[in-house]
Amino acid sequence: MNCDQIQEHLSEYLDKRLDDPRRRIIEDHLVSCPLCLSEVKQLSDGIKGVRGLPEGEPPAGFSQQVMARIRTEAEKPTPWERLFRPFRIKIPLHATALLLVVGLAVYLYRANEPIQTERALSVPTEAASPLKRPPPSDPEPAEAPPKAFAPAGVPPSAPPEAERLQENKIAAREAGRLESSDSRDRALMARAPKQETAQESKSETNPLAGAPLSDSAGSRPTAEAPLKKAQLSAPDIVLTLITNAPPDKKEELTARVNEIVARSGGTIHPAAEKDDREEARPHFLLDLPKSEYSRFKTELAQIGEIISESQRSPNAPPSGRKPSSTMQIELTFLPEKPKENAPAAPPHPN
Amino acid sequence: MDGTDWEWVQRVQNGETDAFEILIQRHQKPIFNLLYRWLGDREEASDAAQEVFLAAYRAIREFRGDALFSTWLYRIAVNQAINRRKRLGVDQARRAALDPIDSAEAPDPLADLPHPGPNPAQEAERKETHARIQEGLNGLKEEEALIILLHDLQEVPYEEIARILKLPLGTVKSRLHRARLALKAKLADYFDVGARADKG
Repeated sequence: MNCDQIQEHLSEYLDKRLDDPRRRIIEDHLVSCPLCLSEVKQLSDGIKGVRGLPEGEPPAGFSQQVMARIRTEAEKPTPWERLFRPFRIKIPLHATALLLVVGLAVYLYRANEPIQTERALSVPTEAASPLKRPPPSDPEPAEAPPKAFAPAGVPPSAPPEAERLQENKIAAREAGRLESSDSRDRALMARAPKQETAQESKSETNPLAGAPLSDSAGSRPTAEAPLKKAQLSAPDIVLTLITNAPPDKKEELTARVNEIVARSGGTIHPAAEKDDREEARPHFLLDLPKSEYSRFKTELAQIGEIISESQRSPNAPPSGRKPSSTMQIELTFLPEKPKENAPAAPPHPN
Repeated sequence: MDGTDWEWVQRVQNGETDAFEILIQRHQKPIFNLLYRWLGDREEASDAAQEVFLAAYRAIREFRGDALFSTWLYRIAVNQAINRRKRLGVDQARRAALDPIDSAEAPDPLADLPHPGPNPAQEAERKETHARIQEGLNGLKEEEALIILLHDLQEVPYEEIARILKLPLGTVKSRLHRARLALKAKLADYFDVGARADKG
């Protein structure tokens, strides 16, 4: 090995990390090489100098100081403990606060839910509350009859309508029977017989589709979307009839209504043909030429007795429908024999 | 004080906080000395050593006994010292190491030796040598000074240094050799003068 190779291993040689053969090679070289010998001596001096540095002692009481800090740290409550200790005081306190917050949240949710739902829908309707608004006295002017169902969210009269709805809700709340559906209001407007109104109050179903009111609030998209549109549009005339057709002959009744409507040149909205199965009250929503209305009523008298005929309020907003020569009619058939256990209906305002 | 480090560590891990004091007493001196020689200031070294043991206590549940406790502690100390050196600034640390007041405050390891002690001339020469060595160390790169302190001052074996610094064994050998060559170069004048004086 030459001097460079020897000098590369001098540190390991001094640290006694070389095996015997290599150690002998280096020692043989050092005997004959004063340069490498000087190098190894200087390295050794440096090592000895470092090893000879005096060892300092840590400050007195060093370990006690560290232990004092450790104990202080160990006794320091964790954030979790800080939150809940003392348990006897803080847990009941937190529980009470939690209950208050939850109660407030539920109260606010319940207080705002119907308003939000109705605002979201912003459906124009003629649902004037019977408690606040007199029933329509004049028939609707023939020049501006609504034609089609208004889509949900039709804008023109939305803000006043929302306000009016809110007024209706407050009035209904005062009367102790809050109902949030405009179909419910429409039913009241129709001046249905006492037992029908009572049944509607009890079942809270939509007179057109028999769907629960909660569904008619309708923020979820469902397969019943067309039906909901039908629910949201107010008919021009609501006719209520008593029929002597047996409840199991609904198909026959439906067929006869179809015939009469067809003869009068009208059309039935398929989405509104659903029956209220529980109450056994067939409902129809149809469009009819205005000129055929008298004939339609005459023919209708063959299958039932008209007990109520109400027209849309002239004060009601135009429901977003364009004026046309047709009118929208809602037909409701009641069985001839009212149910025995039907609760008494609230008195009609008029 | 009987029992291995690992046994005492396990007692601490099982919730016996006071057992940690035994571990402090066993390792405080080498840790303090390493930090003192590397940071060059007694106060800084003392604070740093406290932080090392506090950090070790906080993390003691992570120690699995795979390495020596001293190796684990040295690793914490090295990290602590690197951070402190950055904060202090190397120059300040080096000046502090050579501060005569600081040197005077440092306890003399030979003070308790029985008489007759070294004569004043020998004592002065010894102090001069220590100062030169420390000056030489301070003039080295950070990693060079560290590896010399670990091996030649603390007598930590190559293998443990490799674990502390997370380096391959071959790198430890070559780095130590380079550091010694660098220190030799720093001390060359001093030792040459000394050698000539001895010969004269």
